[in-house]
Amino acid sequence: MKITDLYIDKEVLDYPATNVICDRLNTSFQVVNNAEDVYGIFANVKTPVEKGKKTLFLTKNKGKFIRQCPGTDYYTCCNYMILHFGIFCTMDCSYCILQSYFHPPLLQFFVNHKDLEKSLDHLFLQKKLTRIGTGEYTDSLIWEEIYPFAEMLVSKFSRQSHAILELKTKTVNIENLLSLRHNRKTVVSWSLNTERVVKSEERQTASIKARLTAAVKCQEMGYPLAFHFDPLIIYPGCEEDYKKIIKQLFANILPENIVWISLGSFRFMPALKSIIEQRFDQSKIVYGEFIKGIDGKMRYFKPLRINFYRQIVSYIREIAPNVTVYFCMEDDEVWLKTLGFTPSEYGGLPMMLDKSASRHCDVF
Amino acid sequence: MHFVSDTVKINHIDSTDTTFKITNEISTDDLIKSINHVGLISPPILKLKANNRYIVVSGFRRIAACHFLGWGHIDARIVSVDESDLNCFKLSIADNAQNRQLNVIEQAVSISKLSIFFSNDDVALSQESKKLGLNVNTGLIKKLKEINTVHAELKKKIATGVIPLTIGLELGELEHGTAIVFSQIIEELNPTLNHQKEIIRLSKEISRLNNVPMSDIINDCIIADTINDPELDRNQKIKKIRRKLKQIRYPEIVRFETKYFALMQRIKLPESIHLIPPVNFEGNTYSINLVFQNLAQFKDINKILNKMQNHPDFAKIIEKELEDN
Repeated sequence: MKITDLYIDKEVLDYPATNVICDRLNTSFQVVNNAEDVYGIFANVKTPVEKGKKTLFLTKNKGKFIRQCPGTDYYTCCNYMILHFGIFCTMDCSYCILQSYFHPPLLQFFVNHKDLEKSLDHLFLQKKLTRIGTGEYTDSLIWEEIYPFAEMLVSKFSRQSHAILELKTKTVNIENLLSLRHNRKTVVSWSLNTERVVKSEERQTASIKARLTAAVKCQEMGYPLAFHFDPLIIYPGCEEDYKKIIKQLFANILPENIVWISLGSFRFMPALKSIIEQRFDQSKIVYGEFIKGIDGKMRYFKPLRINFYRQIVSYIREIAPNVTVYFCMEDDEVWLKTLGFTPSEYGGLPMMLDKSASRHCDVF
Repeated sequence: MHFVSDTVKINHIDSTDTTFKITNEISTDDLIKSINHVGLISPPILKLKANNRYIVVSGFRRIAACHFLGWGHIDARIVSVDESDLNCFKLSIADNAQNRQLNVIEQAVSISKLSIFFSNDDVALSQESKKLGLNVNTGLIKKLKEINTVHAELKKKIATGVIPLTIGLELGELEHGTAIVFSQIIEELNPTLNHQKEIIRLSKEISRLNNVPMSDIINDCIIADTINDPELDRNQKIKKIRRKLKQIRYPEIVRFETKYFALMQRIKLPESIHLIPPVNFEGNTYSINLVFQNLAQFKDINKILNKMQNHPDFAKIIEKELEDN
């Protein structure tokens, strides 16, 4: 993690995590009274995303650590929970919504871990099957370079039987995980894409080969795994490229160790288009055949999505007919025409995923 | 601000110093006629400088007209040599803006010259401009500042209103020759602003997608032929060009829509029944508008609807399964 500017909220100056991170980064820092002091620095910055990826603000999460994943009414959501421990990412993917989601886009790490633990204790006491992940507002494992955060989480989740933690990443920062007693309550998951997409759209991420090698190591240590083909990008020849990656995945990973595979075609808020055009001038992903979806996001024209999903599903089913495959934010028409059923036939998508979690992770 | 009214020798006025000039209007014909007929109604504003000479704050064309008419002296309002440049700019803008509507390029020049005194504070700049009769908000200020980068030929078209400001700025980002080609199309066909934006956006995206210069897309024989087709009127040309660009940019969507409309034609719905598909075919809700004036007409519609539910093409439409057609 290359941090050029480190700011510390005066309230967290003496927190243990703050000290660890300062030691690891070994760089000068500035103490600020509040977040606005840091946000103000971005007011006249011409390239805020670039600056935000090198500027770290250590502070408190003053809101909720556990949140509902933001879905929309029309498309089917999986009722995922987010463990909100940090914001933004050091990797640089063209399609990343975080470029336009936070204002300003800035690396933030919340160091009030005692509050986070209290939130988790409260969640565990509810004894309700919960799927919770850290990879929505940031990458789950980029922070391992400066703070062994996963260690605390994996250990904590291992001591209960109702919730599973998903660590979603495009890195290979798994070394801290390998020696941990996880009790199969942590699912380690990777976002996968074609070599071409990784090369052109995912700057500073690990290669697919490296990601799969890391997944194999986690598999060897007994971790349940998951994979996310999201965003699926449509381009000439993409079907063959995705087929290749799917084959590569199953050449390395046993289907029975996969808790779920999610599929989601590229979708974006209209405001992201100009950011991608400006920041990734060689990228062509925003010039697909998009329409405005019912949630206001740009999505591939539905018949195109359906045809494409049919292909991807058939490639997966050919090798792994029983693995749980689901769509992130699609409607019943897509489910029915590609998978042959709608989630409601199985009690809804949350229930489908809960059942898979139960089978693989011994949660109830 | 303090003025002194005086009569000065025209050859003591340095009209080559354009520090405070905001107009891009050169023609003085109308002014010459007017001054010759009724005299100089509004004296120019000058600033005294060294050696008893003057620079023009406002009134370049009036001075040029009087000079043309052979006047040796001219009545003027003189501001002190100590007057700040900011105040002189304000005078120049106010004097022009209060007498006529400044064109976009003149507004851009005014904002460019004033902005030096307001660093990056566009809110203060907007407030000050409004006091001078220049009604510009911060959004417009941002666009006006960008105009300076636009090529002179385009600036002229923006100034004369041939090309709207937003389109001019967009064309300004293109290679000069391409920008001129597009400006000529706009000038010739005069599409609505939304259609202008659509034509440029589609061309730009096709260009990036296929790695071809934008000019090639316009030179594509069908588009070039359409523009030059004497059989088509202006609206038909615009429609055809938009359709062609959409077809290249969104081939699958256009193919789907074409099939949809072909099926609709086969169902042969009367005008009294209007089937409305989901927006962009994304959702699953179809609706039908029925138009009738009495019970008999309603019964007729009902019969057609009953037949329609068994029509194989109607099922294909509802299922969005259009591949076999």
